Amino acid sequence: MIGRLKRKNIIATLCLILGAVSPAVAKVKNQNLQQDLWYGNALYYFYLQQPLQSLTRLAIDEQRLEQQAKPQTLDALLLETALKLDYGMALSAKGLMEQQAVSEKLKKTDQLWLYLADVFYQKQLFGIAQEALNKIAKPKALSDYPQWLYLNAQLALKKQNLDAAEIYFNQLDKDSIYRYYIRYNIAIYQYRQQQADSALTQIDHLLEKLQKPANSEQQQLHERLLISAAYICFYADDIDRASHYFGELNVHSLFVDEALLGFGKVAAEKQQFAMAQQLWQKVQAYPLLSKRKIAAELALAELYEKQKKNAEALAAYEEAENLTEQHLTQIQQLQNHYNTETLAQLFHHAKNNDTDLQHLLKEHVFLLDLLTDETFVAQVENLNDLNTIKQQLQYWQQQMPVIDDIVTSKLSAFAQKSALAREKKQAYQADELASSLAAFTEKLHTIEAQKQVFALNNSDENVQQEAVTDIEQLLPRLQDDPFYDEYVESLRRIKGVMLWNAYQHYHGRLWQAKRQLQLLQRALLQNQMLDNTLEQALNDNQQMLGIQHNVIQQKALIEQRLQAVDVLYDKARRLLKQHFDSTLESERKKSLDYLKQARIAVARMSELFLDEEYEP
Amino acid sequence: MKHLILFSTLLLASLLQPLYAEEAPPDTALDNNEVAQEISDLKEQVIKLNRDLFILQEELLFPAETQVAVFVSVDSGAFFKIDSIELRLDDKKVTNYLYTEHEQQALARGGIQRLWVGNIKSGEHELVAFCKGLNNEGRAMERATAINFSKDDENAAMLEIKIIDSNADMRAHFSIEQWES
Repeated sequence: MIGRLKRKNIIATLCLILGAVSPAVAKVKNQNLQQDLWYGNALYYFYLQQPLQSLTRLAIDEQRLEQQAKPQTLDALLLETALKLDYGMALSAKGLMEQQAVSEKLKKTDQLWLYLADVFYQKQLFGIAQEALNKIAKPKALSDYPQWLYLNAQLALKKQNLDAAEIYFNQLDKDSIYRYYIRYNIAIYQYRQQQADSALTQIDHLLEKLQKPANSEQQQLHERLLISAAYICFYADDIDRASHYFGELNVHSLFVDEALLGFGKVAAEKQQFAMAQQLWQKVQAYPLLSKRKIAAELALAELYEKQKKNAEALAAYEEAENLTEQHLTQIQQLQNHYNTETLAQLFHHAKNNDTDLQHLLKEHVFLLDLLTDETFVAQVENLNDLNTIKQQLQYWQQQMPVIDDIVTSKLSAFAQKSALAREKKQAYQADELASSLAAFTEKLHTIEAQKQVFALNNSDENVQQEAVTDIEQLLPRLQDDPFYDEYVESLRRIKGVMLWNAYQHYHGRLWQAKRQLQLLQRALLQNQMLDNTLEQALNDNQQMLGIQHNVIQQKALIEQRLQAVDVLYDKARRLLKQHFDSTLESERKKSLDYLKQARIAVARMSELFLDEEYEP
Repeated sequence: MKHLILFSTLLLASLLQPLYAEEAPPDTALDNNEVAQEISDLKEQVIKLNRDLFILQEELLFPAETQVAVFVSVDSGAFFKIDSIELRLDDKKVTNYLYTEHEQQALARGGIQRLWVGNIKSGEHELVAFCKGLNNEGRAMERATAINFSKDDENAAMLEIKIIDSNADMRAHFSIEQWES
C-alpha cells in the first residue's frame, strides 16, 4: 500500500487535531461546560477504541443540544466524522460533513475532506474522491497541503492527464515523499507509453535521492524503484545494469521475493543462469517457510539439474519436498484449529501486536498476503464490528426486563400514591372546610374591627349573658316593686362585672380564635397539596405510560436489529470465509503442485543415481 | 517452457502496476460493497437505538431531579499516573475504580471518564475522592480531594475530579469542580 495516505494514519492525525481541542484544557468560561464533559466522554471511548460507545455518547450529546436549540460544535462534528470514517461509515461521514454545511474553512475541516477523499480513492470511487477534494478551498500555501496535491495528481494520472499531474507535482516541496510517489507513477505511465529511457531516467533520479531510506515507507519505495528499474533494464537486454539493481535489493518482503522469483525464471529462460541463481538464492535465504521459498528451492533444483549438477539438484529437490510437506501440514493444522471467527478475532487484534498472531504469521507467512489485502482487512473489521453490535444489543435484550420491572413498579407506586391522596382528600371534606373558613374569617374580622368583646364569650358566659338580658327585659315590669332600685343597681353591677371579665379575656380569646383560623387554613393548604400530589401522580403515571409504550417499541427494535445483525453477520462471515478459503485452497493447490513436481524430480534423480551406480 | 515465460512476464507486469488502488474481481467487489453498505446502515440504526436506550435507562434509573454524576479528567499524567479512585459521598463509599493501562492512556490523551452515577436528595452534600497512583519518580502516592456541593431538585449535579499537572512545582494538583447544568 505504499504511495497512499494510510487509513490508520487518518485516525492518528485526527487524534493530534482533536488533542488540540481536548476538553480537559477547555477553561474558557463562556463555554457550555457540560457539553465539554459529554464530548470528553466520547473522546474517552474513542481512545479506548470503542467507536460504537463513542458515537453513542456523541449522539446523546447531539440530541441534548437539539432540545436546547444549540448547534453541535465543530470539534464534536470533526470527532463524529473521524469516528465514522474509522468505523467503516465513509458515506455517512461524507453526508455528515455536507449536512452541517460548515462555512468556516478551517484547516481541520479541510483535513477531514482530504481524508474522506482518500478513503473514497482507496475504495476506487474516484468520482466521489474528486468531489470531496473539490470541497477543499485551494490552499494558499500549497506546500502545506502535500496530500491535497498528491491526491489531485493521482486522480489526474488516473484520468491519464499527465500535464495536470505535472502541475500538481511541481508545487510540492522538493523533499516531500509525495513527489517520489507521483514521479514514480509518471515514470510507469511513460514506460507504458513506450518511453522506457525517459522512465528509467526518472527512476534513477529518484533512486539517487533515496540512497539512504530513512524509514520503512522510504524503504518500500526504494525496493519498488529498484525492481522497476531492473525490470526495465532486463527487458531492454541490459543484463548487467539489471543485475546491478538486483544486487542492491537486500530485504525480504512479499513484493521483493515475488519479483526476484519472477525475474529469476525469466533470466533462466534467457540462459542467464548465474543471474537466475543469484536471484533465487536470495529468496531461498528467507528464514521462514513460504511458498516463495519452496518455489525458489525448486527453481534452483531445476537449474542444477539443467547444469548437470545432479547431487546438488537431488538435494535441492529433496529439500523442496521436505519444505512442501511441512507447509501442507501447517495448512492442514490451520484448517483444523481455526475457523473464520477465531481468525477474524486474531486478525482484529493484529494492531495490538498480539503474540498469538505473530506466532501464527511466522508459521504461515502466506497469511501476511491477506493482512495486506484491504478488502480482507475491511471484511475482518466488519465481522468484528457486527460482533460488538450483537453484544451491545444482547446487553439491551437482557436489560429490557429490568427496565420493564422498573416501569411497572413505578406505575404501581403512582397508582398507590394517587389512591392514598384521593382517600385523604375525601377525609378533608374540602368544600365544607373552605366555606367554614370563609365564615370564620369574616366573623373574626368583624369582632376585631368592632371590638365585640362578648362575641368571644364561652358557653357559661353566654348563659349568664342571656340571663342578664332576660332580667333586663323583666325589670320594667317590676317598677312598682319596693326593691326595684336595688334590682337595677344589682343588674348594673353584674353587667359591669361581666363587661370587665369580657375585656379581661378578650385578647387571649382573640389570639385563640386566630390560632384556630390558622389551623383551618393549614388544613386547607394540605388539601391543596394533596390536589397537587394527585395531579403530579397522574402526570407521572401518564409519562410512565408513555415510557412503557416506548419500552415496548424499543424491545421490538432490538429484536429487529438483532435479526438484521444475524443476517449480515452470516453474509460477512461467508464473504470472509470465501476469501480465506480461496487463499488457503490456492496455497494448498500450489503446494501440492510443488510436492508433485519435487517428488517426480526426486524419483527421476534417484533413478539416475541408481543407473549411474550400476554402470560398469 | 513457453508458459513459464508467459507466467513470469505476467507476474512481473502485475508487479509494475502504478501505485493505484488495486482492483478486486468485480463480483466479489460488488458483494463486498453491498454488504459493507448494509453494515454501515445498520451501524447508523444501532447508534440511534443505543442512544435512545441509554437515555431511557438513565431517565428511569437516575432522573435529573436526583442524579449526581462524577467525571474524571487527567491533564497529561506526567506527574501522576492514576491507579485507582475511591469515592465517598456523605461519608459513604460509593465506588472504588481500578484503572487499566489503556484507560490511563485514554485519560492522559484528553478523554473524560464518567466514573460514577447515582441518586441523591436535594440539599447539601460532601464528595471526597481518594486518588492512588504513582508519581513521576515511580513512587506510590495517595491524595484526597473534597467538595461540598448543593443539589437542586431540577438538574443533575455534575462533578469533575481534575488531576492537573503543574510545571511550577512539578506536582499533580487534585481538585473537584461542580459543572454548570
